[in-house]
Amino acid sequence: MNGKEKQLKKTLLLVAFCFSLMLKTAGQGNLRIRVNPDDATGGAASEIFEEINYIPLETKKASVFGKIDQLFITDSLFLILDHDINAILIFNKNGRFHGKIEGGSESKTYHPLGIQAFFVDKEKGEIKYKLGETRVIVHNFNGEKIREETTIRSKHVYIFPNDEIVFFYYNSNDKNNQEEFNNELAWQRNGHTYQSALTYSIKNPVIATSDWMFKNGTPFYEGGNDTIVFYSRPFDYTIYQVSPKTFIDKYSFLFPASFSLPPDFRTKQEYYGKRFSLLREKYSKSVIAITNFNKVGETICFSLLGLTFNKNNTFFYNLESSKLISFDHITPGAANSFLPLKAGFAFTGIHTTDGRYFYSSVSSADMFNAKSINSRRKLKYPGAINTYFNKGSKNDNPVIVQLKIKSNMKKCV
Amino acid sequence: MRVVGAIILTFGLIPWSAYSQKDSTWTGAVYGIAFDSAHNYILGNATAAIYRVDSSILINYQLTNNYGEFQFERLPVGISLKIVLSYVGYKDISIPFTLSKEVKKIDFGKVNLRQKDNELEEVKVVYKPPVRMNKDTLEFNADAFDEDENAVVEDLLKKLPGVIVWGDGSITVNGKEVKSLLVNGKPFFGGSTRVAIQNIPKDAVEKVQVYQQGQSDIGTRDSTTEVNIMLKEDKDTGYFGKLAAGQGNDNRYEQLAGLNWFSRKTQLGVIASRNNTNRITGNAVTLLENNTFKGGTDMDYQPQFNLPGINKIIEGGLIFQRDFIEKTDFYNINRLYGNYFLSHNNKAIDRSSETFTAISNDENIVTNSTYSNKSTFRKHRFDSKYETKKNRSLFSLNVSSLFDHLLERTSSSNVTYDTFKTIQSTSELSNNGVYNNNLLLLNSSYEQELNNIGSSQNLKLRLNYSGMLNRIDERRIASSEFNSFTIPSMSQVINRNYNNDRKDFENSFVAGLDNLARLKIIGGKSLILGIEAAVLTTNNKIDNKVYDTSIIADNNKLNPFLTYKARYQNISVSPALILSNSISKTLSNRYERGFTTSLNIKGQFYSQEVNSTQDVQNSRIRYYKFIPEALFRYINYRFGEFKDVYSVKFRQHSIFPNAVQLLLIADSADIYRVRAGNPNLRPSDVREMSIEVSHTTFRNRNQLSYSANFQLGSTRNYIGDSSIIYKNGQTNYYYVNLPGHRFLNAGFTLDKSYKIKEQTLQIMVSANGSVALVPGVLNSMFYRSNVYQHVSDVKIYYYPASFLGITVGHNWVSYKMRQNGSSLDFKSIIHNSNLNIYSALTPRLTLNNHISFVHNRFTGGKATYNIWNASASYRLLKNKNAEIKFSAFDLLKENSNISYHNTNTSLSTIYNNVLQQYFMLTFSYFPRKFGR
Repeated sequence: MNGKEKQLKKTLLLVAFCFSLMLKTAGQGNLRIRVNPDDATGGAASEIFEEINYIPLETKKASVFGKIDQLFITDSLFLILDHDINAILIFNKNGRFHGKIEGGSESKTYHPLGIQAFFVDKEKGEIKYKLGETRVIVHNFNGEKIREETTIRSKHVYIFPNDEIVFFYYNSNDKNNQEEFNNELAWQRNGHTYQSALTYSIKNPVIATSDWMFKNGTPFYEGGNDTIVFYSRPFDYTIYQVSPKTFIDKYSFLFPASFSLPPDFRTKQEYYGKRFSLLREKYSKSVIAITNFNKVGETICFSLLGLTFNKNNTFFYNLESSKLISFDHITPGAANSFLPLKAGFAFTGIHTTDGRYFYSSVSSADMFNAKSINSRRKLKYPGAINTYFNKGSKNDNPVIVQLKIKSNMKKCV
Repeated sequence: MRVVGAIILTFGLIPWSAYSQKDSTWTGAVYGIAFDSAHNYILGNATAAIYRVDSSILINYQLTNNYGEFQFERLPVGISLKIVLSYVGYKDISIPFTLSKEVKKIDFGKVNLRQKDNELEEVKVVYKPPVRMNKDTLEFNADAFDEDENAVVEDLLKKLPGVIVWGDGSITVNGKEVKSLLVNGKPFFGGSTRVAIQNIPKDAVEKVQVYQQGQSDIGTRDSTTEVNIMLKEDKDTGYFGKLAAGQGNDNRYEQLAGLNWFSRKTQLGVIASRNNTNRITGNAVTLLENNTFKGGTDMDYQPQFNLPGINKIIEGGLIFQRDFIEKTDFYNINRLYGNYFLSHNNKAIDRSSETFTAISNDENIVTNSTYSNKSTFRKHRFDSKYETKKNRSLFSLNVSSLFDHLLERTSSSNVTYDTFKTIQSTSELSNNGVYNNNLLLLNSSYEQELNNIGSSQNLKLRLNYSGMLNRIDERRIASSEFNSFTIPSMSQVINRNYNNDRKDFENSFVAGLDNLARLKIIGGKSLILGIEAAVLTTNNKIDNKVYDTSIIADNNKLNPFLTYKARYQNISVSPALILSNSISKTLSNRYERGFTTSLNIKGQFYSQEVNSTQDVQNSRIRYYKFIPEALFRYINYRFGEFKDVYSVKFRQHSIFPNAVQLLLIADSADIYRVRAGNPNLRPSDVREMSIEVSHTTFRNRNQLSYSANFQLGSTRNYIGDSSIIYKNGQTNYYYVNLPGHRFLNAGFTLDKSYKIKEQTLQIMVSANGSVALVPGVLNSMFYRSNVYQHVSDVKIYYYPASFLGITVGHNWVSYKMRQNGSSLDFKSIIHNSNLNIYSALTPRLTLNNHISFVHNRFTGGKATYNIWNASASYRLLKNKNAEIKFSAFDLLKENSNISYHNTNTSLSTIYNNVLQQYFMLTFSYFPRKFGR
């Protein structure tokens, strides 16, 4: 790197830093959301959801998978990443299998999981996943490989329309990194960084890899339209709204003291490498992070990550009425044929939203178990589910659940 | 760790009847939903219980299902009842109702429960819910279950839904075996389930908790089921014990005294037993297990009628446990455990035997012997263990010591005949000696996870040290008079005085680093690298002084051949490189299949040196051995259905000759078995392959598990015997290296259990067999024998009702040896069938019958006898603290113990004096207090 380049880089970093300050300033005046998990209400599914649809995903030899680790929804497709089989499966919206992108053994040379996560360019109809630091493999929506690209190193990427990309640089333990990242997030257009946010020293990190509880989860969650994505991070009770031009600390969560970490838990250097032990010994009841944040209309849905949040960890919150409903306390009923609304044992939160529905999934083992329990009710299942129960088995693929929340949750409680 | 998420114990909507007097008039039903109207949600896993209003008797109860629903059927009509709903953190609600002939069904709809305003709010507890889910723990409330006032925890467990106490003492909860039973979170008196559940009164129990404890098992989502007995706060200190004395005819007696005290942090138990009825346990915990308040139906604690001789036994022990932290859990332990045991046996054996020995194809000899032995054997054993677990590190220290003292006087007369019944030799032998053996063992291990990548991938340091200090001294006088008629030159009269001392000192140190590095190989796969080093040193010092004595001359002369000082030292260093690779394929909610390969590239540097005052013993040898191991394991785990494990292991290792095999100098005073060591012995190299298969079901009912294993191998330089058998019965043995040793071992176990209503049936089968080609040299001729051995055991436990237990067992042992190229063919088969019937005729009167049918068949004869023991016991006093018991043993008076002993060239038929019919009256008192 010659002197000019160094000078240019320094200038760019300075500009990015100023932008981050500006962006931060733009975030003043965020919305405070008070959440007491113990006070969350519940209700019958029919009281809370306007519509509940079950979409069995076709099970055949090529399409068999275990669980949904990432779900992305386009106008006509469900794109599903399953780490169990290291593949991205493509299903039509009616559940018919459409194609598959297999990570193969090569991807596992880069990471034990193979494909860690994928990102989608909806405009171009492209599915991309990263191999290692710079390789990007690009497939079309039929699952066919189109090309390879190279990009700057980043763990997670989100693509907005018009090729505006936001990168997630967070790599907490990388002291030997030669690149000088000073922020968690950076925005690029045509390969050039034009803004960044959230100061973070990669050379002198305060959070060790062992401190971080959800290393493989995506930090970006769908905002319900093409230009908004939400960002969350560990030990921080703020949800940030990211768009091609803006960065806003949109929602600040407040929990009762017994659920809260000390304010400096994230930033204190002395806690480096000790956070897991501290959580276990002193803060076992505390919320570690807010994950799976999704928004449909005026309803947000989020999950709380913590050592004791085994159940009762996912909530719907109406921004207008401030009503808090625990997903765990929503009871299936006649409206959804007494079928489960979410995974039982391994439920970690809502998968995503398409701006209209929240999406969860249920394993076929749970579906058939419910059918067995329901046998005394003499139910008549709706068409697709009836066919699924008649022709399928507990070894079939998971079933996608579309949940359309009632627009005004005030009435439901 | 406790499994996060739902406990896989599905109890919802299974009504558990607590009242057995249902009849056809019980036709009522009630339904409803437990509901929190303030928060607008249903309450799943809430407890619904139905009681009679007049007597508060619990009639039925259940946990609500995922929809909050409860549903009771077959309820009494025309009786005032009440339903009580309860849920953790909520106030109970009680609704009275009466079902009538006109209104047989009531739907309560949504029954609203209200949260307690705060955690400190005291609510008057009227009805304790019989069962409740408290987070991931299923809790049974002991007070809700009506039992006899003297009931123990075992009686309570048998009443709990989903819990089965099986005939062999194991416990399952919804089909999952309980791996550990704790009392207030701690092991109880040595961790024995039986000591805990058959002594602790049901009234001392607050609740029984059932939960899942996680377990790392190459990444499978296995977990184990644990049961914790929580004692009531005022009952967590107490004592229990047993005092018993019995007197029988023929001067038979048995006495026992035991007292065990426990508090929140400390447990101390003392127990002692004295008898001449061949009841031997060998350790304090077994002694405790066989003398519980409840008493057992077990057929294993019968007098040992096949034990040779008359045994006067004293056993006693002490158990101590101290927890330095009051509330221990999976992550935090700081515990000291001590166990002392004394056994003392005065034995008198009178034995006659006939030994058939083959010399060649057409020549054999028969030796008839009478043998008498009077001995006193005293053994002290002390074991202690300290363990501490905190912050991903585990340290444990074990110290054990053993003091054995044997005083023995033996004498024998022997006559040997040839094939034509001509006397070849006679002998008179005697041996009077004192033997002492003092042993000190120390074992310490330390494990530390050095990072936190993930539980199975963490870099882990392992250190283990064990040391052994052993001292043996032997003081004995042996005399032998041997008259050889065909070879007169071998006739001899020998009197010897032995003063032999031996000191052994062994050290073993093992250090290992697991998950040291990941090595990338082709195709994106990686190998996990670990290293290990083991160092073993052995130091034996032998100081033998043997005097030839002459009664006539009254002088002692040092025997220059048998007297020597020797030092045997060896050091073994084994560095190893461990490469492993695991490939697993998981399909969530369906299966997990994993293939593990592990290659242990291991070498062994072995150095051995003998320095002796007998030149012939001196040697110095060094070896380098390549002793690799390879393991292939495949696991197929179907969630909620079964787990199959298949493994194949290849192993090559060496067995080095020990000090005795190298140094032993032939002592002609032994007459019939003159054995000599061989300083030129080389190590045996064993190559073996083992295959193991196991299957375990995870069904809620009628589980099945089986396993099979095979071991196939060969030994190069097998250390065997070269023997010369003389017609006069004398045999000289010499250790030699021999070629051509092969072996095949196979084992099989099966465990199948059924639960049909209140009846339990458990079938346990085990079978082990081996075929070996064993080389030997007989009279300078090399031979190989085919040796077949087999042991199989079947036990069936059938409990048709709580007052009746039937156990049937069959044990089958067979042995067959055929020498290749000769007509030698030895066979022995023993069948031993047992039937045990336990019946509690009334709550106080118990009958026990135990019958053994023994059928022995062997080359040249057979023997059949049956032993029938019966007892009747009656519990006295209000608390059943006293027991009077009448027992009759060997009612048929048929015990005539015959046993067999084989070598590769001989078969002995042995008749011992044994315990025979006797009757005994025993009085027992059980002092016990649970509570301050």
